[in-house]
Amino acid sequence: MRISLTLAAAATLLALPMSAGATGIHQCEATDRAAWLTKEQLTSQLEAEGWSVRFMKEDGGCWEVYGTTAEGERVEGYFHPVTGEPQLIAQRGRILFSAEDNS
Amino acid sequence: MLKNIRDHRYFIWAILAIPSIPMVGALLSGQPGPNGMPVTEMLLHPTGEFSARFLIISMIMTPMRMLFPGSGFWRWMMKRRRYFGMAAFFYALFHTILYIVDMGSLQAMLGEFLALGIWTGWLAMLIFIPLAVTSTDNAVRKMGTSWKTLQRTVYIAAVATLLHWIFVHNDFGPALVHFVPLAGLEIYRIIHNNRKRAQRVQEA
Repeated sequence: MRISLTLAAAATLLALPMSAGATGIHQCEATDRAAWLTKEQLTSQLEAEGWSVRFMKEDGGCWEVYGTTAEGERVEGYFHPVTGEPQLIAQRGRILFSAEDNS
Repeated sequence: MLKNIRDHRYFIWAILAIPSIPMVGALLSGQPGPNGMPVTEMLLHPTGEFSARFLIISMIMTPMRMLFPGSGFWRWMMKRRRYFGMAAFFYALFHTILYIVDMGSLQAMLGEFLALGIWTGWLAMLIFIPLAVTSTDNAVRKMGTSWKTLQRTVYIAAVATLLHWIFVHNDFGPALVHFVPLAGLEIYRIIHNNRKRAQRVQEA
């Protein structure tokens, strides 16, 4: 009884998905890496729109930007790496903008 | 000799403080993390995670004792439960201070306060404060039975912590990896207690 319970608990733990490199929060279409905007280009584009950019990294084939919007919201935004168009913007997990909803 | 070290108050404090060593080191160095992530933001995740871990460990002790009544380890742990609770509180406090510093303004914090992933974190922290304050031997003695009633609000804090973790990242995986074992043990505990109660009714 006790052993089976322990095994069941261990199996539950193992069966749960472990987060890998890509977070899976958003996936951008496949793009040619050479055509990507540089971090500096995307930063200046966003700054021109009133954002401040803290840092950015690649995630799911997008540029994932951590920053503050012109409205002062601390957000995590996924941008198309070639066009620089916003794809998904979330404030602490709360979706503020989604390109899919707007299309 | 080994037993003396193991049972010393400072031994358990030292064990519980180990995860904070690299965190404090990173904070003091002030070096940004990968991709230029500010150190305050980088440390938000590990401080919160260790707070949740110590909270969960303190909460699984009773069902673990039911599951393994003869285990010396869980008996030893049970005697130190309040230390684990205090560790959960201190890592949560560290987490909250980092968040405040990272956000940098009251206006910015208020602007996101109503996000489900944020207010649940504040709620958990708010519950932790009276639980931590009443963790002294003196408070336990003075409060008598009401001590247990107060400490039971930890269940609300645990649910709030789980929601905070899921919704701040919009991701179920890592939060559930931590909380599913606790939920499983709580279900076991309820079944176990009900069965015992039924036995007592039969015998009476």
